[in-house]
Amino acid sequence: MSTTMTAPTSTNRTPANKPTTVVRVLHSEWVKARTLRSTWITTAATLLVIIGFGLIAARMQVSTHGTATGGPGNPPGISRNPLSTVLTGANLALLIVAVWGATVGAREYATGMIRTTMSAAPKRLPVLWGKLASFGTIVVPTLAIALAAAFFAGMRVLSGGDLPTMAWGDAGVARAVLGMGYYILGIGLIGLALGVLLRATAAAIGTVIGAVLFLPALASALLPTSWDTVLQYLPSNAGESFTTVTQGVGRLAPGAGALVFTAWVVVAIAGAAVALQRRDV
Amino acid sequence: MIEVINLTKRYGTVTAVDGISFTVQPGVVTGFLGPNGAGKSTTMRAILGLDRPTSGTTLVNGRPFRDAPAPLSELGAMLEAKSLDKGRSARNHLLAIGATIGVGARRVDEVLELVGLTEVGGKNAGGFSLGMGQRLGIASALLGDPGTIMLDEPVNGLDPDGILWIRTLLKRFAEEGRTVFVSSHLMSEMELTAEHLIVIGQGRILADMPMQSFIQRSSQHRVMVVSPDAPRLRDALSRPGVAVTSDAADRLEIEGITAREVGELAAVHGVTLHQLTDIAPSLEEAFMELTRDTVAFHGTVASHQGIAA
Repeated sequence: MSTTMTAPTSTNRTPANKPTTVVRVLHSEWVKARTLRSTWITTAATLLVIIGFGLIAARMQVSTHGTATGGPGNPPGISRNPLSTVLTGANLALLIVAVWGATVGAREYATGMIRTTMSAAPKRLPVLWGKLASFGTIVVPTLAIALAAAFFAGMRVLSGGDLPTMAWGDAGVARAVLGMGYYILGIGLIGLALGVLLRATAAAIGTVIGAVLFLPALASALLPTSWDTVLQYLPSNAGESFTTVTQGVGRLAPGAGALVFTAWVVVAIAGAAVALQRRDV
Repeated sequence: MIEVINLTKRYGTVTAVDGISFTVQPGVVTGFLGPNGAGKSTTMRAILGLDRPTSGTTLVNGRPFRDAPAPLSELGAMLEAKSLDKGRSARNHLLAIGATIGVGARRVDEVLELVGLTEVGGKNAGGFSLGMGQRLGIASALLGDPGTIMLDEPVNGLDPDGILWIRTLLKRFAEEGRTVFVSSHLMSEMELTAEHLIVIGQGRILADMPMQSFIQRSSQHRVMVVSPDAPRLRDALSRPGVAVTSDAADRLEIEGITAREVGELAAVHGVTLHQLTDIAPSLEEAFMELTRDTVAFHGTVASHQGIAA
């Protein structure tokens, strides 16, 4: 194989092309995810928020209610639910991951990259699976590490201040912590699906935060209580059923809530898949 | 090989492409010409499977592009140069796309070298100039070493060096037996690069023929004469079918007669000639003549409406 200089020649080529399988498209999406700096910034932010806020909240409880420093105005023992305390950061992490998912879904439409992507994978659907999988590949371990660290380190801080704690083995605790991770991941996936569906970052973020996270709270305030049976099926209300240790009033049972929430995730992804298949890129 | 069969694409009520059919053959550079809004990009998007046809089919190597086992190694395309993520380096951009056909760092570095972006491969594509973005777009089209290459306005934003480079590259690919389909609005560039022409106007194919035939078909052949006896020659030329114009006392531009006939006529009348030149029409003239009535957005139309209003 002779390579002659300057003039462009295609004789200097490595023909190593293999068929474009779903696995190769997944790999392509993974390369895309890991080569964006924002991926790692958001990962760090999620870790920081969940672990950091959990520890800060636990310390605050200790300093206001703990035996060591508890003054007469702050009788020991009257503290918040220990699990909500150590998972304080989860609410903010939920917003971060929701925005993250929406951005992952809509980003290529905003940049124009989608044309290149779909020209390399014209079957289209594997691209969606790839985006969901690579998003999950990063978000799942991030949430697992962050929630575990926040739970165990936070409980240690609380017990150091002689405040009530919860153990992993206590009834409903493991379910609530794992459920919180599942809920945040699911909202992220809904955000991603909305990003693909709406093809615009701002619209997707607005929809996932406004319609999915805030609208249910607004609805229960505005609608008569007779609507509560319907409202409990909304994603955020369904999520609440399995992310807390004690079952709230007007909430589904944890198992049913998880199923309903999963159904929302599946519907969002199915909607994105159908839109992706049908419309022009 | 690219085949477009009865392709129609409507966006709402606007018909972008209206039942067109053509075949792009391997071995030659095929130019795709048309005024703005004629349907060039729509056709290319349909070939790539980005837009679903309203009716009709497009085939790459005999099958719809979406059914290609390894799309990137069958058809390498660049539609708009900035079809990339600004937050990713050129090299990572190519690695991500290449992963769909299992090509890795080695091929990516080869292609970066080929388009002259080795130095800036690690830099974010967002900081690239139009010309560099164009080169990166071409790099991604070449990544899979495809048998068919389709480029929309590839010389857009390239410097003269880059234009020469892409021209040489496209001709080389055609010589290697690949199918090369390239659109451009730069007539002079197209005239130098393409051997075959497909002309589109208002969503219809106006011409599909070799470049030479297209130019020769034009009625714009003219003969230019410089003569001290121009008025006498002009009289001798006054016959039906011959049009003479003049922009200088000793210069005539003649249409409807060959240079040879002008020379013989001058000899018969004893007219001295200082210059006798056959002016072949350019692609641009041939194109303008063909598309005069099909330009979607006519400058004069707008001004008429302005007056009426």
